[in-house]
Amino acid sequence: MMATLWSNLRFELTSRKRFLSPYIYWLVLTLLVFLMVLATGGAFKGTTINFGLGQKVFINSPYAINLYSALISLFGILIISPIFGQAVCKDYEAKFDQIVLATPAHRTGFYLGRFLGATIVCILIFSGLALGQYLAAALPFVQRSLFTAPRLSAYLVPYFSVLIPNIIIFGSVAFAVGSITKKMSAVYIAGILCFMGYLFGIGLSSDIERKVLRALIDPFGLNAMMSLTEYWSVAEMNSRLVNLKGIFLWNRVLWLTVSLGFLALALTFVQRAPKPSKKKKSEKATDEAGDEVEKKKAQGAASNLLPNVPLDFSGAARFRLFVKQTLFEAKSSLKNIYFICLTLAGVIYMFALNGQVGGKIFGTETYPTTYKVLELSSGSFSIFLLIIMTFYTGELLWRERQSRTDQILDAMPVPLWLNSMAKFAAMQIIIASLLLIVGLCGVIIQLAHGYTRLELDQVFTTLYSIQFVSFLILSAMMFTIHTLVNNKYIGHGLFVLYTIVMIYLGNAGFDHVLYRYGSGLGGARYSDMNGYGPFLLKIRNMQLYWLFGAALLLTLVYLFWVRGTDNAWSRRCAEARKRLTRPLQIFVALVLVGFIAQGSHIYYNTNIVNEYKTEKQGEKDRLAYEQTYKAKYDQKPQLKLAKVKAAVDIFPSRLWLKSKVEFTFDNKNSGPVDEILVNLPVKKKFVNLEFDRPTEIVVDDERMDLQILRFKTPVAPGEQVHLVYSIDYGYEGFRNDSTPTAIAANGTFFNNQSYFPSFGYQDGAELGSDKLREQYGLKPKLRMPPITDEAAKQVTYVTGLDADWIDFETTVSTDNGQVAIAPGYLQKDWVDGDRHYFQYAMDQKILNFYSFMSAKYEVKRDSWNDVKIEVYYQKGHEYNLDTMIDAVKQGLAYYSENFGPYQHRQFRILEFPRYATFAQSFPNTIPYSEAIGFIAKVDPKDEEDLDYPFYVTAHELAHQWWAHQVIGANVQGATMLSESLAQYSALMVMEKKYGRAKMSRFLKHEMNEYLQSRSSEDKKELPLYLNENQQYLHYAKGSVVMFALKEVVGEKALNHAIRVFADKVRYQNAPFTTATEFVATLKADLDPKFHDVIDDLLTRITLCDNRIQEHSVKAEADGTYTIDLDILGKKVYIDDKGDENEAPLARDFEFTVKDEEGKVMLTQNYPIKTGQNHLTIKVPKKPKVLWLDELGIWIDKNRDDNKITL
Amino acid sequence: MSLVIGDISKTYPNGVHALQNIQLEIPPGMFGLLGPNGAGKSSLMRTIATLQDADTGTISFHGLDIQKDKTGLRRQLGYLPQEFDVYPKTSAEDLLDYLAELKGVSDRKARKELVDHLLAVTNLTSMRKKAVATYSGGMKQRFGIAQALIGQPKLIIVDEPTAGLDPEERVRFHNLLADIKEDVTVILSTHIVSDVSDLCQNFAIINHGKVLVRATPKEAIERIRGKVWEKRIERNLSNNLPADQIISMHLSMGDQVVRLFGEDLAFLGAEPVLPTLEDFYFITIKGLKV
Repeated sequence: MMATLWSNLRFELTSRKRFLSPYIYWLVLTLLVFLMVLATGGAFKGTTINFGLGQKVFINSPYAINLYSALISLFGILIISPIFGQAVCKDYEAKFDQIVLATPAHRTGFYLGRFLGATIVCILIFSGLALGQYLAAALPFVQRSLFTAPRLSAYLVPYFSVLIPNIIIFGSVAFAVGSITKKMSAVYIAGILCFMGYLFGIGLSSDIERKVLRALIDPFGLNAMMSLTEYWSVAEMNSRLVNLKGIFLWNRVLWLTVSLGFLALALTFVQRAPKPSKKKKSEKATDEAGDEVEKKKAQGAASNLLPNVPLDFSGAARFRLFVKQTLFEAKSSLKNIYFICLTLAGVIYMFALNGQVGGKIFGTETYPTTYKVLELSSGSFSIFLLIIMTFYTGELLWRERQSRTDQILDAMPVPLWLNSMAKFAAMQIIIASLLLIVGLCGVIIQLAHGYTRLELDQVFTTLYSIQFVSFLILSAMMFTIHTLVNNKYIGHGLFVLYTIVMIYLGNAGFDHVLYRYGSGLGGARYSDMNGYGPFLLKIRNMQLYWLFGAALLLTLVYLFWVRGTDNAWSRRCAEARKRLTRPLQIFVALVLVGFIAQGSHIYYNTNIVNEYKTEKQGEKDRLAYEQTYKAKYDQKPQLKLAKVKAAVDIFPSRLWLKSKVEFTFDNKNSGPVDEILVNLPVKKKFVNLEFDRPTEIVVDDERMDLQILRFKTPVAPGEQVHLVYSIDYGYEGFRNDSTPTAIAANGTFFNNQSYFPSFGYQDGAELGSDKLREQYGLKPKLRMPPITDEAAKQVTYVTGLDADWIDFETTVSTDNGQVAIAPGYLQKDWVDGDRHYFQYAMDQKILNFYSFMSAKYEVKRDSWNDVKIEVYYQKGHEYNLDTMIDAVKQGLAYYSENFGPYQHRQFRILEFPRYATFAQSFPNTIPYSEAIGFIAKVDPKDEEDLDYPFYVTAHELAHQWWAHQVIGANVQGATMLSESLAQYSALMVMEKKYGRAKMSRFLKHEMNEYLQSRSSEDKKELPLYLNENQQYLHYAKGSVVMFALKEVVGEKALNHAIRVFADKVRYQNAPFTTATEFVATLKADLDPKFHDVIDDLLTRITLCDNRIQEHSVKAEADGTYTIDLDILGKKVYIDDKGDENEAPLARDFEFTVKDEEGKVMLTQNYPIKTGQNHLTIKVPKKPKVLWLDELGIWIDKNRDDNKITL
Repeated sequence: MSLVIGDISKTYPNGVHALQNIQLEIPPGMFGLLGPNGAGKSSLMRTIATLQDADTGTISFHGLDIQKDKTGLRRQLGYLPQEFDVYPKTSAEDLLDYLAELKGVSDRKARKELVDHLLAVTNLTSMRKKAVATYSGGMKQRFGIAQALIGQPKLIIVDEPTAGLDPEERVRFHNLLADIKEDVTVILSTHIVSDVSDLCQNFAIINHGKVLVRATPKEAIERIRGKVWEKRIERNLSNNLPADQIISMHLSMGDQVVRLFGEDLAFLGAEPVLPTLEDFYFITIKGLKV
């Protein structure tokens, strides 16, 4: 056996040596990873790809190397599968099996040798990964700051944890499938299904509950690795080796065991030679039996061996034949077992993902609206569709040649176009059938959720008039590639390469739709409010253009279609010239004219009517803005806006906006102001500026849409200036980049920053990414000025340099039939012709931040005390209106009691299309996306469901206090005063409504979000009170720590302290308040014994890492139980460099014991300190669950070890 | 003459000169193309069947330039390639129906009748529902000829149809071919001499891409009449017969029988025998001279 093993191993290696493919594979892998590292390493100016790596993680850190290796091994399956598959199948495919199997070689040794040989070949191929990464990191033109000193172990570890195990795992699968089926095509399909395992893994929702399953089910180990490292800090990622530990180790053990099973299976199966089919014998028998009868028949017929049959070569007959041929080709693919397998896998995947439609928000579902279901189904199925398309393009084109029927068929009197185009048409039938499956599954999913509002017209439009066309155009490219290269495998390879190149082109700044084949064909976002809105115009234009393009490609397919046995390239070229007959030349010329004409039309729209700017140009503009204007204008004293009076005319049907705004400025400075810098929102031809004193334009920067005007007589301190600004602007044609949606046929929503000018230098317009800044030779940018920056305290963080509190009034008009809304109270409304006017006035100062909306609305009204509550919504979205109104009432009650009176007499919620998915708080006005609260499906009976329409509404309402009354200065920590306090306020209202126990679900989400996000922090994690407008801090961590603070000091005491702070700073003028003042106020108002915990929560980065080490349960004689526990307490602070430093822990933690029915038997606080803690707890019944800090109010790095289930 | 092959040559990209200045005029009726493996027979057949183009030269069929109007020829062509397989899991009946439609038999009823007829004449009626891929070699060849007979072809090309068939199947196949009407041009390539002697009115021998001879079987035998000799030698004895006169050697009852070519070889102890077409074939291939 050993001799056979050894000789086969050698044979496997030496025979591979002569093939080109292993070398190509090696080169491709090496190059791929080489380019990945170069791209992330900033070697290509202006590109910022990071493949899921945080900006501060070194690209050659152990974590990054592991990540890249694992990512590449996803594609590696395309290499592993064929190599192992061929190790068994090659004998059969070459019909050499009978010779080989007739030798007396030991079978097990024989195939084990082949298996080991294939393993070694694969390892050699994958050796390029480390080399490629190492070389790229060593090159001089990468950004040095993104790399650390290379470590050999970092390069080696992934081989043992990821790459070699994956080779063995997927190799054994391919080997087993190969030995059972003896067919390579089955091996490929198995490879694809393995890839699905990974998709399934990530598809298993982002539910925290299924983390373990998600990590285990993925045979690539990528999910397990991610799970192991999800809470790692940047410092850990940069220094720790990703060793096989925990869930990662279990994943590898599990799958290697599975692979042993596969190998055993393979070795059992190869013992059996494929049996000569019995059927054949019996058939032969019938043949002999029927012979005599037939002979007689044959003799009768022989006199007329070539009977007269009518032959019809007319056009009509050819067309009928074309249709039939198309159906024949399509049917043979659709009936194929692999096709059915792949489709089934896709369908299962689609259903698995659709279990939670649209990605849950806080674990709560939304209603399965048609667009959501379609997006999810076609989104999840599209990868299958692409794979099926790729695979079957090859199969279709090679069917005759593979079944060796080609010589008979090629000699048939069938015109060439019929063969080639029937195959193309068959592919379209395949695509259309698959899309039909997507549509049907979508409908089934909707019905299964009990949702009966079916919109079949929308299903058809999305799937067929948009997606189908785009797949058709793509398939023309697949056909072209396959026909031209005339080799199935190279064809597949080239198509994958083509796909990668297309993605890369976009990233590299070649982003014009005119030359990126098949681009601009999607991206429609359907909205219940606005239908397909503005998207179809561009899509239809691009469809026409690329259909012309596809017709040209198909002509190429026709010209180079291989017929007959002679396929030398020179011969094919000569043949193509012959096929290019005069009529075809005319056809090509006509299509070319159409292509160019439509291309010109597109160019006119994207580059002449609209401005075309590449991302890189945009970067350069921002660079120029900073370099040209920062030095002179950033600190320059400027006028402050005091009053805005806007006349706004919205024309939804024309997507147009006309507006006349009177701005009144004060000079609040001590000296005169002689210049004003105006940032125009659009090109200057659409706007007009008129000051009430003579000005001259000193700078007119058309590239940056910026003007600087000099007042002929400078504005003296205390003096006022008036500006009349008018804009006459709308959306014309379509653009190369994203389609603007602020002005919409139904559901217009824009704010003053969109279409009104801003004044003074805007540091928000600077380049933000430090990596890009370094490439352009700029210093890293502060996300926010430091908390000690006195100058920055002169402005709020919401409004910027040019204004803070303003007087506001407006008259908005819209098409009759729509309602136009802006902040303020409706004074009057009137109809004039086909226009409806609404006049709003605000009775007090507001921040310079206001919105305009217009749509056809239904309104639901209610009131709380003297506050009118109104919800403006889209008909059909009634689901959560009562919840929202309830949240408003409870919020108004809680907030006005605890934080001060509500400043308005009205509160309005306004639905807007889902082009954005947020709710935003403007004075007495909350634009609220249709996608987040309106279609949420909250099941009141479901323990797990979180009522987020209630939560979001309460949060936005709280902003009327936290932002619109109390506003922080534009320094670090400002968002803690608005967002974290709004989170806290909303949490309190939720706790009132749902009870304390229900908060654990919300807190768990928030804590998870915080722990995950801190590891992908781009710059540096900061304590909450210094956060720089970072969502994971001011929302996620904010919720948890504010809740914890409430738990420690008590709700009353905390609210009192917050009220003291609010009263001190409410409606404050410059300088504005800071988080420092907030913390100081808390400390002053609360007992000094809480100062340390306040610091732990707000001014430090504090993490616990507690663990239940030992536990024992003893049944007492009286029927009670005694639980003994050893708990390891640990607390760390994160220092400036991101390193962990242990700090003494001494704090009370809540401990919960539940009985076997899940009922809480005991909840009690116990002090836990650093190191060993021993607890003895007595409970009346048999305990089932022991849980330290069940609610999850203390941030713990690993909460899994805080719970014991007996 | 129905088929005129005018001076065609073909060199493959790998440098093999598959056809070198082939000139042939083929009349209606059965024409045999005889040659050893690798002689260029299939290259020639494929060229006539429009599956590949010659580098130079022309081929015309009843005045039709087949390299210019391929579809024109394909409408009157029946072709049975040397090696073919069929789509898996497809029955003979379905496949014939499909191919008949491709050949222009668009009327459904006529097609059905034709398929039934072809199945009957090729003795496959009882097997018509079975997948062709499961057929034995002989059945598969009969299926092959059935499809080549679709649509009243004027030119039928059968490439090595009898290779690998058992004697009974070969006879059956020969009978089938023999029934084809005389005004149809049938080109049969083979390396088996009896295929030609049994069936063909005319034949040519081709080797190394060149036509060596074109004749009728009768003429051929006449040419070597009286020049073929046979000598029987005990097996273990070495013979010192002149190598350039040996046509063939075979064993007979343990003795070695050598056939020789020459004017008078009695001095070698050989006896004159009646010549066969096989003798002519070997003489031609080996280039033996008197």
